[in-house]
Amino acid sequence: MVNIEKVSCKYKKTVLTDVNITAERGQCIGLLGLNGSGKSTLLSAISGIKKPAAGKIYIEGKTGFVTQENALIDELSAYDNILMWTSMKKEEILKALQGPELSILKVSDFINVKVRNMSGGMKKRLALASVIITGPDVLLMDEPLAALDIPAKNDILKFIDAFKAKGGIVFIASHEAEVFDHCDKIYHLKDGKCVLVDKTRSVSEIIND
Amino acid sequence: MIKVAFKRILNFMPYVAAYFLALGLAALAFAFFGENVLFKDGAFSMVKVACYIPQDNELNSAGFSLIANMNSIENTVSFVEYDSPDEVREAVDDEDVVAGLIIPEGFASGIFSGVNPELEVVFKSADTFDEQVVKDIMLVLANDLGVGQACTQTVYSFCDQVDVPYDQTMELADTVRVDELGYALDRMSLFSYESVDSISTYTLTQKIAGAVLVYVFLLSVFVFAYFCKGSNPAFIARAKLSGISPAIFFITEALSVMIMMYVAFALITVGLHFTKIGISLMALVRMLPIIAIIAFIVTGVSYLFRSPVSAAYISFAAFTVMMYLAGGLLPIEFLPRFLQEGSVYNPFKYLIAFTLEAMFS
Repeated sequence: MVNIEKVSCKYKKTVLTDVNITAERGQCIGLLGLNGSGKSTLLSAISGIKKPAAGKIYIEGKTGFVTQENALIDELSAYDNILMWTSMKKEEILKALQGPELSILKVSDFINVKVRNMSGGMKKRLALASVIITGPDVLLMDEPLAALDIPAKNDILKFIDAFKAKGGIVFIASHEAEVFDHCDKIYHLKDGKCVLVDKTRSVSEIIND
Repeated sequence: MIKVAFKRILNFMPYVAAYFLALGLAALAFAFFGENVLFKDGAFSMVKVACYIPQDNELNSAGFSLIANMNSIENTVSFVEYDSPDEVREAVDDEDVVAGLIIPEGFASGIFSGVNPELEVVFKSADTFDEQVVKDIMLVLANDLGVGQACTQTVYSFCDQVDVPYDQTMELADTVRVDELGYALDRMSLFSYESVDSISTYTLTQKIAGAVLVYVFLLSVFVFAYFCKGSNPAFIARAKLSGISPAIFFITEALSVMIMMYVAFALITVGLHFTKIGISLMALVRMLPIIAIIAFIVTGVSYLFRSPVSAAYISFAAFTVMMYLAGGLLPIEFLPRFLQEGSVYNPFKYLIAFTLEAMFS
């Protein structure tokens, strides 16, 4: 489980105060807000990369963070990019990629392709797979569907459902309406506040609130 | 991670090789032919020297111009004529010039009359290389000036004694001046840069090669900024969550840069060992710490800027200015005096000195 209690974060001009979020196993939490509202800052604080200015963040298990910009090395293949962040052997990596959740991302299909020759969708699939292969219990995703084609979006959304079904917790910061259909709770970040909103409302309604 | 680091090095080497091939060839051409450009006749005057030439006897000006127009002096010293001895002394005091030469009133006529007036050579100090050069030049110049004028006076006096008509005296004097000019020109090599440079440890070609090598390695930010990922928050986040501290990530990338630089340097060394630049093969060992320092500087600079393009252009501007002030792009003797003195605080000056020591000693 993840418990965020009275957390305040500050990064550049972005200030978030009194953030309270609770997420149980198998839940997906959506973070909705305009650019600069603090979505990425909050994800960084949950991941432990940035220390919150105040409050407590309790996380049961290990976190994995898929940042908006892919942390991939252009001159290396998909396999080498995964290998860079793990001590697993080649056989273990290939086996993991063919597991029930990771096989959704179809990374095995382009395991030897260099990143510089990949499409945006392939890069996002690889970035996600290289995080998941380390076995996180809590997955943080910053704009995972930005600039992706429809098959890539569908596969990533399908993966999110599979990850939840396995008992994982997902935090997604996004603008894309279709992401929030897969969320169990949606929080709206505005004017430094993080407010739980009714998930039956449309994204545009919430944003224009 | 180490295994992947080596794979990154292998995959990135073609870009590094292309960079060093392009800039290395340009640098090599500069090292080979730079001395001809830098010391082309009239291209530069190293220092300014003030002079006072009294107008009481035309021989003063004639003798002075004879010496001042020697090729080696012309290309080394720029003379500025002042109206009085005091103005010359003041110019030296104000450091507008490096030295002053004062020809006293009645100098030409006095030489033969037994008064033997002395030339006055004024220095504020002579503690830098260029001042020492000028001091030597001025002393010989003064000597030649005196000898030249004494010779001319002797001709006039001799013609008077043997009762040769005035017009024939002039003709004879002109002949002697031509001979005297030949004598002076024969001594041109005295001040050629080879002679000046021979007092230093390295030849000019070696100095240029060493400095340009340091410059090319520093400017490799152009290529390594694309290799180093430490300025990218996504990579830093990824490293942290994978249990790799930013310091370890930096060291891994800096060592990778160092390995690539060293491979490039090894190829350059083997190539230049057989040329007139003559890099010692021992440089392959001695340059290791210098390449390590440069690799860490290049990696550090790459980490400072989010965009590789910004890192490249800003470091190009900064390193070019630093190298110029360290005397790396032009001999330090060409810099204004205050910049020469300031160069002792420039770390690149010592980087170049260590490089020369490692490559050629």
